[in-house]
Amino acid sequence: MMCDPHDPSHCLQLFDKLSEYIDGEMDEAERRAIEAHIAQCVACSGCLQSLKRTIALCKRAGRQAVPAVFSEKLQTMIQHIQSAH
Amino acid sequence: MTAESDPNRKTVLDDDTELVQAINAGDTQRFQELVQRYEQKLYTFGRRMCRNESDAEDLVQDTFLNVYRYLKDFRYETRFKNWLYRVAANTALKKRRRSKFAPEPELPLEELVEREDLAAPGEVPEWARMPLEQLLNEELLGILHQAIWSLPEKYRIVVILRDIEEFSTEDTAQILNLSPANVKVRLHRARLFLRDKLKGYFGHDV
Repeated sequence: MMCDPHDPSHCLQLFDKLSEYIDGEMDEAERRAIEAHIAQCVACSGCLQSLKRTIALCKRAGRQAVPAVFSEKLQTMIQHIQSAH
Repeated sequence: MTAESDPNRKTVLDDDTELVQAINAGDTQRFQELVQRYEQKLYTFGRRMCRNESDAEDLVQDTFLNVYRYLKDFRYETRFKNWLYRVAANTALKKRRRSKFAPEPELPLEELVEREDLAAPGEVPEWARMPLEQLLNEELLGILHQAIWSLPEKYRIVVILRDIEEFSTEDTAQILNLSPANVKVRLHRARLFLRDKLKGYFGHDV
């Protein structure tokens, strides 16, 4: 990926691979090429950081507490189908 | 050759195996244990999938009903949790197909990456730099949930399984009966969509 560090069309190609890069799902050669580009392209570095932050926020979206009323309703439903079988 | 007599058949044992085997052997009273073990996880899945709370409750209820009905068909060839989420995902997708006939919109990559994002060197936006704890609050979580709900369903379910439930690409592919490559494409587009919504909320350019 050696090219003009601020060539938008090249950056767009790289952008397509950013999730795989973040998830560690690309081979060594591709990973190194992306890191070399990001080290010299401030725009791509900014995109990478904002995408990483988006993922981090999703991971913190949090477990949802089950309302007690619904939990009881679920138990009643299960008891009902158990008694029917 | 039946699946049971196939010597190449893979058996996956996990923390749920003993409980599932007991239920399938006739101790159906222990199904309550299975419900207690997974109700919060499935409720969270339901709330992220469905904007409406009662739809989420219906999804959880129908999922457990289907699990009760089809547990005997579970072949122990995957982790039980993957099978459970497969039932939940199928239940969610069937509900949508019953209620809407319009084809799902696509998320073209070109629309998710604005050229101006990359046209000029910028800097890392403040919301991507500041400590996560400082950034997190109820309002932001609300914005994120709204953004997730506004994703087309086939993208939403992938980002929920990968980034919220934290399944691997392979497990997500197995749950949704997709190729890993397809999961990666949908996940990337979903993340870009969410990034775009957060970008709008924070009012920054990158």
